[in-house]
Amino acid sequence: MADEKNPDPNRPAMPKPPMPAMPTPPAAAGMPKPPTPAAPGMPPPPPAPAMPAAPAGGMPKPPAAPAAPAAPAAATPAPAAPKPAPAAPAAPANPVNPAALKPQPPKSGVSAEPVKVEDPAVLSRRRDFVWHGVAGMLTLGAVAFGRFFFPRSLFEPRTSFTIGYPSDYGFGVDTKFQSTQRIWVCRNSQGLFVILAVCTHLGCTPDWLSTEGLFKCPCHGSVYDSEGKNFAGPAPMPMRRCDVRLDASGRIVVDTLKLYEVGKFNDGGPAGGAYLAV
Amino acid sequence: MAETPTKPKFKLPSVAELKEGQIWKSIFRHKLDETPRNRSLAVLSNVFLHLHPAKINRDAVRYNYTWGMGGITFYLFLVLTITGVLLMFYYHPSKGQAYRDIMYIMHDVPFGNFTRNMHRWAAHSMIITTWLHMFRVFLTGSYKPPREFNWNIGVLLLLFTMLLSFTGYLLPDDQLGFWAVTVGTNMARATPVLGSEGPFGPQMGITAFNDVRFALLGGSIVDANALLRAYIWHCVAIPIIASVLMIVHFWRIRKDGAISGPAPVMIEQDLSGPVAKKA
Ligand code: HEM
Ligand code: FES
Repeated sequence: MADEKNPDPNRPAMPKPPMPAMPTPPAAAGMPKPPTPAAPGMPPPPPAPAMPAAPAGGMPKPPAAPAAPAAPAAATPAPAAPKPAPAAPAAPANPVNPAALKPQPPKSGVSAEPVKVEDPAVLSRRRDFVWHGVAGMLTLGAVAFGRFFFPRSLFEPRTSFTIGYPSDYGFGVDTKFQSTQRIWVCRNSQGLFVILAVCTHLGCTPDWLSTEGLFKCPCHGSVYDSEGKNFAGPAPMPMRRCDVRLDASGRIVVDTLKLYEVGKFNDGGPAGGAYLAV
Repeated sequence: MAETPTKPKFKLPSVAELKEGQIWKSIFRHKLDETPRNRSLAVLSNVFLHLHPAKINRDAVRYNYTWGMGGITFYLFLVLTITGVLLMFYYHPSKGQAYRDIMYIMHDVPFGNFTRNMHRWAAHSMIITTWLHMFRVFLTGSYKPPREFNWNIGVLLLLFTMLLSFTGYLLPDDQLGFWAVTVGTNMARATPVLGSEGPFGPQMGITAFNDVRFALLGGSIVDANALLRAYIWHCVAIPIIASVLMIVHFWRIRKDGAISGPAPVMIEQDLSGPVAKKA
């Protein structure tokens, strides 16, 4: 077991650092600057042991506290003049220079290497680097996390499909595709058109009430006529119509993603669009 | 054959003896004496109780001040966590299975209907008590500094409480929940910038296939993906987020100087005590 007083016999006892070899700057200059690094960006050399310790290094002391005004104050009733706080000037004029925090000479005679104190500027740059790295990783993670919620492929019903021949549909509203495709196939004097069975309020499926000739929405009570024009309840506009056209064999092709709003119901014609003149 | 009592017979230890034993002492690290110090220790040395201050202002426990609403809300959250985990043992978050599982829980699983109803009633109640809690915090002016931070944590807790309610609504996959979520997520279309029908949405290239509603549903329609997402948010993600926020909420109550209080009230006993008489 190593002798407590001499842990490493190979290491010579540290000589006591000589007392300030550096000239102390004039009092007006305040603090000595830490040694400037040789080149910008280079870590500064470890602090020289010769650096003066701030409190004891023989720094010129600030002038003694002006105690003068206080003394007469005790003898004579003092005028209410602003008293300089006696404590303030007594405080050390130098903030502690971290570079000067050199290890104390060992008290018990135990020799020790001087503790290497890193330059705070380097430490701060290192911390910044780590924090930027952490922030970057978190940002990347957040972006990936957000993108993760948008799938590329969907397994949803087709939005374009055929519904048979125009001759399959007479005047009025046909509900046979309501539950499978969410559409109504309608015919009026203008021709054949397909209403998307989605309430324009907030998207429920209205019911077709054939005896009343009305669509009524069960969610908040919007009412539409047999051509999907709203006239009661919160619905802001008529129900939208799907694109219709005929394929080569004469069957009706419906596209539920291509929609016509009110005002565009006359777009199209015999060849397709908002209605088929067939 | 004559019995030879060589071995000492096993004897159940008395409570007093147990209390002297190593097991007891390892669990309860102090005596339960009727001293203020030991009463404090009972709170301080218990991981669950230490959420509470060891001593609080008498006014803070007056029900006509806090209505106990925050505490009741927290209690309901615990009820929901326990009953919710129980329901998860029988529920599959998939189309075709979800609704059947609910019927199964209600009509066949022992205490299933009881558990489901407990979960449902606690859920409704938690919404009400959260609002009432917020209302009382408003009435007592407890949102003012230094408690404004905790008010904001509270706003988030209110948001997540309602999101819990909303996501839970879809899980039975019945008509009510399906259309409620249809309506609710259609509102999300109107979100500014992020919604396909909201202000600046279309201008930013947002469509029904990349807007916030799409992210909520995992698709463009309320279907299997939406059910699964609602399930994960409801059973895992939001409870964790809300728990973290509650930890902060409770911690901040203490750091902000405990429950805000009305002007101290002197009870008669104090007023007629030795101090009052002397005065
Ligand atoms: C999940 C929901 C919530 C839970 C579990 C909860 C829990 C609690 C509890 C146990 C307290 C102690 C005092 C009391 O019981 O009244 C409290 C205080 C408080 N809560 Fe909440 N809370 C929730 C939501 C909210 C909301 C929505 C707000 C307001 C927007 C809010 C704001 C506050 C504030 C400011 C205090 C301090 C009040 C004071 O010091 O008098 N909390 N909360
Ligand atoms: S969704 Fe039809 S009236 Fe509201």
